[in-house]
Amino acid sequence: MGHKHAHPEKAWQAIRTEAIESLLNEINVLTSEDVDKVVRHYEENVGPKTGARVIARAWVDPDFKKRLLADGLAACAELGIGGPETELLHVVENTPGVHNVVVCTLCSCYPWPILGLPPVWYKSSAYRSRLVREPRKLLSELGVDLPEKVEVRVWDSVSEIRYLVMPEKPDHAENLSEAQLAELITRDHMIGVARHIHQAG
Amino acid sequence: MQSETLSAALRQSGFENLTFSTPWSARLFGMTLAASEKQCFTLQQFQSALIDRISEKEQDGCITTDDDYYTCWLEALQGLLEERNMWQAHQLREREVEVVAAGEHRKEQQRQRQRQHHHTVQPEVVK
Repeated sequence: MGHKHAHPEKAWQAIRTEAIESLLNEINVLTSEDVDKVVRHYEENVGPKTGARVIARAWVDPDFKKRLLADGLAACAELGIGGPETELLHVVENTPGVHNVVVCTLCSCYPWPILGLPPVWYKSSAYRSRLVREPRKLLSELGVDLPEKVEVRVWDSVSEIRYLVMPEKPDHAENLSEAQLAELITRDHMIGVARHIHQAG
Repeated sequence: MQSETLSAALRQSGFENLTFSTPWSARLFGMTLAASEKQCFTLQQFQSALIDRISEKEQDGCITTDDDYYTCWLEALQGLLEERNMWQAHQLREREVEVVAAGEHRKEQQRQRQRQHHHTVQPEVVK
């Protein structure tokens, strides 16, 4: 991919990125404002709380849950959530007998509009290779110990489909509001590297 | 990356929105999405280029950091845009030289301002 400049103060990647952006500006492909807009959106508006809101709604509204499991993206759109970056969103439900976990073995596909940017470990070679090879062992190392009777389903986001795990609603949560439920759901639950929902107190 | 590191990385991950670890990775990400919105390429085409690049990279070693990952991303984007003849190879090289020179120029100006600052009495706002 060409010569990589050695420069003591600025990474070659930073220089090349700036040069590419400058050329794209010059030939009127995009403006700096176009780029700013995307970055700002991902830094400020989108994050795991977006996904938590979707799951909490599904926990309190059985009809919404049905629609979410049938067509994830259409159901998210009802809540004003979505974007051109995801074409198909498949929501997979944890049950007492099934644990779902998501990976992208080939790169790092991730439901950006629902969960924001993926964490570093999700993109690492270790997670991507080991989760498929030895899911139970890796999950156990990450603190998710699953009894043998619980089936582990690993979803690999290799095509246009993105996956989102719907954790089980905690017991004794009847008195919690939708917003309070959303507070209990973390990004790791929705990737499937955490299983139990911890309630405060 | 060993699982211990993976596990530590996972424990550190909070609930907050993630931001980019470097300004260039943020620009790169933004440029890619913006360029696909402008139909320079589809995100599927980009994904496929990224998969190829990551697979090449992993023949030599592992991806363990954000820099490793976004370097693959940068090379995938560059390849995709060059396939579409967005510029001639020499143009990108020349622009990189200009970017470095502009950075040096900015730093020199900053140094000059700092020197001036030391030699002048700054007005103070009194409220």
